[in-house]
Amino acid sequence: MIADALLGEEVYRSRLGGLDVWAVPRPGSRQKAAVLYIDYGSVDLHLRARDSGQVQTTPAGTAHFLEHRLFAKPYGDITEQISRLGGDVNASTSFTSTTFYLTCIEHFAAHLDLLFELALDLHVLPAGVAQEREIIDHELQISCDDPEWIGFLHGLEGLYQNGPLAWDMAGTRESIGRIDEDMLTRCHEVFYRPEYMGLYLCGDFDVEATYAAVESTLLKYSRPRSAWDRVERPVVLPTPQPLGALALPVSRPYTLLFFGDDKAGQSGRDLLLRELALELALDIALGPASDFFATHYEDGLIDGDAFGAEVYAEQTFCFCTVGGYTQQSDRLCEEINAALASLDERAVAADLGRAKRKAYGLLLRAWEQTEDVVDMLCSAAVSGAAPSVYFDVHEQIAVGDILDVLESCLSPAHLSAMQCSPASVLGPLVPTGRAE
Amino acid sequence: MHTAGEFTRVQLADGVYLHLHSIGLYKTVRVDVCLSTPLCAPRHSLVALSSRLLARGTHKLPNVQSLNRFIDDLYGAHYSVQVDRLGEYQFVHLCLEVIDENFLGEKGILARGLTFLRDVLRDGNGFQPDCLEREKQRLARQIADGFNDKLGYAQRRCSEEMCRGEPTGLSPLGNPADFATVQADELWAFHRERTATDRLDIFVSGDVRLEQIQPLMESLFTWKRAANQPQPPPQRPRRAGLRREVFECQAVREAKVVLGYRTQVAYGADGTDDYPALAFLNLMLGGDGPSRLFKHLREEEGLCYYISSHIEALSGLLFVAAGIEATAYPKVRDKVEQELQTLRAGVFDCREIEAARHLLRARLLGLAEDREGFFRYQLREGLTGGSQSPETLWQRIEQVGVEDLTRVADGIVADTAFLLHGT
Repeated sequence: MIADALLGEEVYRSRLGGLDVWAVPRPGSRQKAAVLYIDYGSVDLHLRARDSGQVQTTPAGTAHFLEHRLFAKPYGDITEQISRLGGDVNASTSFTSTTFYLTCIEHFAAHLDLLFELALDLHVLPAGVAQEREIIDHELQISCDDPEWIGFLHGLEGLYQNGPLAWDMAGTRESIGRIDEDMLTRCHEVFYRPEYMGLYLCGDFDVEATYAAVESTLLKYSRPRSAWDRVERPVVLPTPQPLGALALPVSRPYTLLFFGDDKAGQSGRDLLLRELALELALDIALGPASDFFATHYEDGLIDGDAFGAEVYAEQTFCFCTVGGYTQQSDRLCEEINAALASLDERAVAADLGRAKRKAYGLLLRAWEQTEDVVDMLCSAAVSGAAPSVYFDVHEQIAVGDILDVLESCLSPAHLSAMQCSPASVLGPLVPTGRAE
Repeated sequence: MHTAGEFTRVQLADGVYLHLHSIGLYKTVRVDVCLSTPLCAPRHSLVALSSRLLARGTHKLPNVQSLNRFIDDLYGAHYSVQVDRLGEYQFVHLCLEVIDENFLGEKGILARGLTFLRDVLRDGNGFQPDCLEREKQRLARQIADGFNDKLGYAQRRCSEEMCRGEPTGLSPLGNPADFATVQADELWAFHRERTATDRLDIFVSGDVRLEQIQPLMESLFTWKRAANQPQPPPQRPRRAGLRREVFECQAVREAKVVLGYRTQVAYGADGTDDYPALAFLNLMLGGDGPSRLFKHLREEEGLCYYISSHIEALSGLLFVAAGIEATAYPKVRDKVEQELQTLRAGVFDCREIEAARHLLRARLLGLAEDREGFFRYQLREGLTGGSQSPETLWQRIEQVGVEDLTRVADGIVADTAFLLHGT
C-alpha cells in the first residue's frame, strides 16, 4: 500500500473499484484536503460507438457545462450541504481535466461522500440546462473584459491554429446552444467512470477506514458501461504562425511569447524531466537572477512583478509563455529571443547550480500545506509518475537536458508572439473560441 | 480538535513585537515584518515610495541581480516587499519564506534570511535619486494597472468615493500626484524616522522555538527607539453621509456594482464589541457558501453573474459587489436593500444560522494552518491591542443570538453605490 515516501511522509496508493487513490496521512494536521480528478477536459470532443466504431463530435464546452450542472441536485445546490458541514468545494475545467477540490477540518468521511455525490450523481432537466446556458454565455462575455485571458487564447491560436487547444474551455455562444440533456448524460456516462478518475487525499485520517468508505460509496454509483467510449487524445505539435496585434481595454501594452515544444508526447519521468528542463532554461535565461532581467528591469523594458514565464507540460501538448506588461512590445520580443539564443553550454553550466538550488526550494514548498500536497499528488499521477520522481529528476538533470529544450522548444522556429495594445473603445467580440 | 501549534507574543523593544507561531507541520519558516503607521495624506505616498526603494537592495546586495541571486541561493526563498492597508493603518510588509533547515544539509539559512530583512529595513542603500525616479514611474504604472482587474478597480473606486477625507479612502499605494516633489534624501530621513517611531511587528511561523529565536531577534531588530510611540487612531464608527450614487463609464462589457454600507460596529480589543454578530451577518448575507444574495439575486432572479459581500472590520464597513447588466442596476440595489431589511426585521431560518456557524467555525479553527490568514488575523489583533485567539473569537460567535443579529443589522446604513458600466 505504501507506494512512495517523501520528506518523511508516506504516500499510500491503491486501486479501489477501478479508482486510482493516493493518500498522504498527516497526523496532527487540522486541515484536510481532497482532489477528485476526472480525465475529461475541453479538448475531449469525440465519442466512439463501442459497437459500430462510429465517431460522434460533441459541442465545444461540454465538459465545462457538465461540471457546472453537476452542482445542481434535486434538493438544490450541493455546495449548501458541504457548507453546512463547514467544508469548501470548488471545481474547474481545463483543456484535459475536470477537477473537484474539497477542503475541510471536520467530518471528512461525510465530506468525501458529498464529493462523490457531486461528481457521480447527475440530474439534468431542460430548465436547468437553459438556465446554465445563460450563465455560461454571460461568463464568456465577461472573459472579454480580461485582457490577459483573451491574449492567452489568442497566442494559443498562433501556436496551434483553430483547434480545441485555442478555444475557451467554456465553448462559444453557438456551441453551448447545442448542448442538451442527452449530450450531458451521455458524456457523464462515458467519462465519469472510476477508471478515468483519480482521488488524492491529505490530512489526519485513518487510511483503511477512509478507503473502505470510498469503496462502498463507489458501489452506490456503479452502473453499466455506456454504449459509447472516449477517443484517445492525440499528441498536438505546434505549428507557429505570425499573429496580428489585438486591441483590448488594458492599461498598457501586454505581450506574451508562446513557445511550442516539438517533443511533446512524453509521459512519466521523461515528462517531468522535460518540464523541469524548460523551467530551468527559462529561469537561467530570463529569471530574476539573469542578466536579461537585471538589464531590462533597469532600462524599464520590464516590470518585476508584471513579467514572468510559465511552463504548461502535459502528456499530449507542451508549451511555454513568457512576457507581461511592457511599453515596447517589439523590443521585448527581440530581447527575449536574444537572451534565449545566447544560452550556450558554458552559460548553462555556470548557472545551473543556482537554478537547481532554487528549484529544490520550490519543490519542497509544493509539499507544504495539505492542499499543496493533494495538488502535487494529482500532478504526479496525471503525469504518470510517483511524487518522489520530481526529486529524482531534480537530482539527475544536467546541462544536456537544458540545451535540448532550448533547441526543440525555446527557439524562434517554435515561437508565436501575441501583442495586446490598449483600446479605449471595444471592438467586435474577439475571434477566439471559434469552435467548428 | 488538534492543537494548532503554540502562539507567543513577546515585546523586544518599545513598539517592537515578536509574534511566534511554533508549529511543526511546515517545510518552511515564514517571516513577516510589518512597519505600520496610521494612514494619512500625503504621507501615504511617502510610505508607498519608500517601500519600493527598500526593495532595491542593501549595501551588501546593491543591485537587483545580486539581491535576486542571494534569494535564489537561499533555496529559492519566497521574498516580497509590499505596501498594504489594514483598516486605517498602512504598513510596509517584508515577507520571507525559507526552507526549514531540517530538510537541508545546511545550517544558518534562517539567520541569513533574518539578517537580510534587517538590512533591508535599516541600511537604505536603495534611496538614491536615480532609483527613486524609476520607482516613481513603476509605482505610477502599477497603480494604473489596477484598472485591468475590473472588479478590484470598482471596489477601490467605491471606497475612495465613500470615504473621501477619511483614512479608509486612501490607497496604500499612494497618490501619483504627490510623487513629483519627493526627494531621495528626504524620503530616507522619513523612513529612518519611521523605523525609530512606528510600530514594528515581526511574525515567525514554523518549526521554531522561542528560546531558539528570541536572542537572534533581539540582536537584529532592536535599535534606538523613540520612547513615545504614536497612539493608534481612535476607533469610531462613522455616521453615513448622504446616500450617494456614482457612475463611471469605461470600455467594459459587464457592469460591476459595488454598494458601500456603514455599520455601527467597531472591532475592539475588549471582547465586548459586536464584531462576532457582524461576521455572522456578513456570512449569511453574501459571504462564501450559500448566501442569501447568491440564492435570491443570482439563482432565483438571475440578476447577476456573481455577488458577494465582505466586511472591513477595522473600519466598520460592509460592501456588496456584483457583476451585472448595467440596466439591472436599480433592481439589484433595491433587492440588496430588501435583503438587509429582512435581516433587520429578524427573519432568519435556523438552517442558515447553523450553516453560517459551521462555516465560521471551519474558517476560524482552520486559520492556524492558513499562514497568510493567520498572519493577517494576528496583525489585526496586534494593531488593535487585542490578543483574542481565533478559538476565543469562535467561542464568542457561538454565543451570538438572533437579537444580536437584528441589533447589528439595524445599524447597517447604505452610503455610496458605485457602478462601472460600458457604453
